[in-house]
Amino acid sequence: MVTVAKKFRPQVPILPEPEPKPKRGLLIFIVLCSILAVLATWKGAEFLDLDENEKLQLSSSRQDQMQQRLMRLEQCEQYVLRAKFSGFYPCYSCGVDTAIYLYAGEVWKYGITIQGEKGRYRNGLTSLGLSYRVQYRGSIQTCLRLEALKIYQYALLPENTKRMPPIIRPPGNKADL
Amino acid sequence: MYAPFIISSIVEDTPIGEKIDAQNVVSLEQLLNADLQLSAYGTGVLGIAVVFIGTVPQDAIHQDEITFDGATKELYAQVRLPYADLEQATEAEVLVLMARKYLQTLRDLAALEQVADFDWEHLLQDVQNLFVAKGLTI
Repeated sequence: MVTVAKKFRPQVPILPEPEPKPKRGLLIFIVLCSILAVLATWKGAEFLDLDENEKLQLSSSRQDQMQQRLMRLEQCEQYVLRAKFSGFYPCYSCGVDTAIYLYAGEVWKYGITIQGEKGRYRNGLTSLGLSYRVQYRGSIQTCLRLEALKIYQYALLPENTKRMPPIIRPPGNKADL
Repeated sequence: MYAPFIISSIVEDTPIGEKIDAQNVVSLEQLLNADLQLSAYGTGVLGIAVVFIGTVPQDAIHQDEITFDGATKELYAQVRLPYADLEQATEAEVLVLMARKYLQTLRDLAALEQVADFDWEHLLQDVQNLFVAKGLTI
């Protein structure tokens, strides 16, 4: 084997390996792509902006949205929905019974709402025959606190204690909060 | 909707709220449902709900709105009563204010909602006649 190899030496001279050329074109291409990608992403992120010191900040429209949202949370309302007529109303706290007889003016539900939030009470007003009374206006924290207090203390109201058996929370409230 | 004509209210726990929802909301709703058949005016509208807002003018949560649900053919209008007038008025006068606003709302609905197969003009006339007959117009 060694003899054969010596006898039939390769005719092509073995050239020294060329030094790898720097792939400048590829490098430039990658850098350009990266810049374009960053720019594209940046353009899509309209919620971000740069301030005068080139620091990231929320865009002015996003800041406005945030301020409006914070302001709306300060304009909360805690309300009560009462039966407009004496009759049967849906009950979510009556065990196996799905309806309860309410006399006109009795509480069906306590709730809260903020500006811009529509419809949670609206269905009750039109389809169930209820009326809406604002009991408190102020911050959402206070509204939530009052709502919880009223839902828990409902059990003690005379309109509830006269029932046999009384129910744990207003008929229209599915949970304590 | 449990009745063709629905009246409700959004008020505060104040004497003004009492003037609106203690008796008047129910009186107006019963009056309309007892004397008028909504189906007599066509099949385009199956329910009209008007909710009177009687809260302070600073109330930013409840605003006027009018919507028509094409699927259920129900109209929903939320309309504000003039607060300064509510302050001055007696409970009976508030009912007149509500009747007047109701008529105006029907006119607005008729102008806004292009509902097929519904005779707004006839309904408006009948509601107006009813309110006049009951002394609910000034």
